[in-house]
Amino acid sequence: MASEPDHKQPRLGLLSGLNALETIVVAAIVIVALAGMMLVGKGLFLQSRIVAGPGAIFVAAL
Amino acid sequence: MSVSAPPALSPPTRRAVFGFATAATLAFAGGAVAGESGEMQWRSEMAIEQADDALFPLGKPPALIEATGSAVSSPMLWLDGATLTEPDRMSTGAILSARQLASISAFSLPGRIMPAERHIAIGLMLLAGAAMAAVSFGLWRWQVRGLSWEA
Repeated sequence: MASEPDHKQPRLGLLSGLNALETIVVAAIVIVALAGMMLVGKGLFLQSRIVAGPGAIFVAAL
Repeated sequence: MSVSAPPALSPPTRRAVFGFATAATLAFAGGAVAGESGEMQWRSEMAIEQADDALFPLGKPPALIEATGSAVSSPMLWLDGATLTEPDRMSTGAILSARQLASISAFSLPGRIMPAERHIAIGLMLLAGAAMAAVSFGLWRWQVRGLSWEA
């Protein structure tokens, strides 16, 4: 029961639909977002070190 | 439901407990100022807790907890380098004090160790910028190419 022809082509890559300029723009946006997340993470770590003290040992709670 | 009074202590015992609590509080405050070792601080904290249990069987008054509590349990620590009087010196209005202006101008000083809140603030700004750029780029590409992925 094939109601519609199967035109499914293999899924293209994430950046294959973009030309060179768009790829550069997307890469820049991704880099800025990653830098922001790293800064926020470092800030949270510093904040936790302020509370727990510099000699605190962080044990991963499973 | 009536709250029963704590069991009355005999005057000598009460005097001893009060004296012990006062001495422990003073010792703890002095030690906190002088920055004594963690072991001694922990011992005096335990002594304070025991004295508090004897003095306040129904619970310590919150004001006393804030006044004599350790700095670690104080939420004031969430401000960078804050003391217990930090909220009194903090301006919540839109007009910044000279101290806040100085801290803003220090925002762009190179080579300065950045405190945690500044890291978080800059990171959030970068994330907001990335989100705005992604939305703008997506709308622009949608307008130019439509929704087809392979165009």
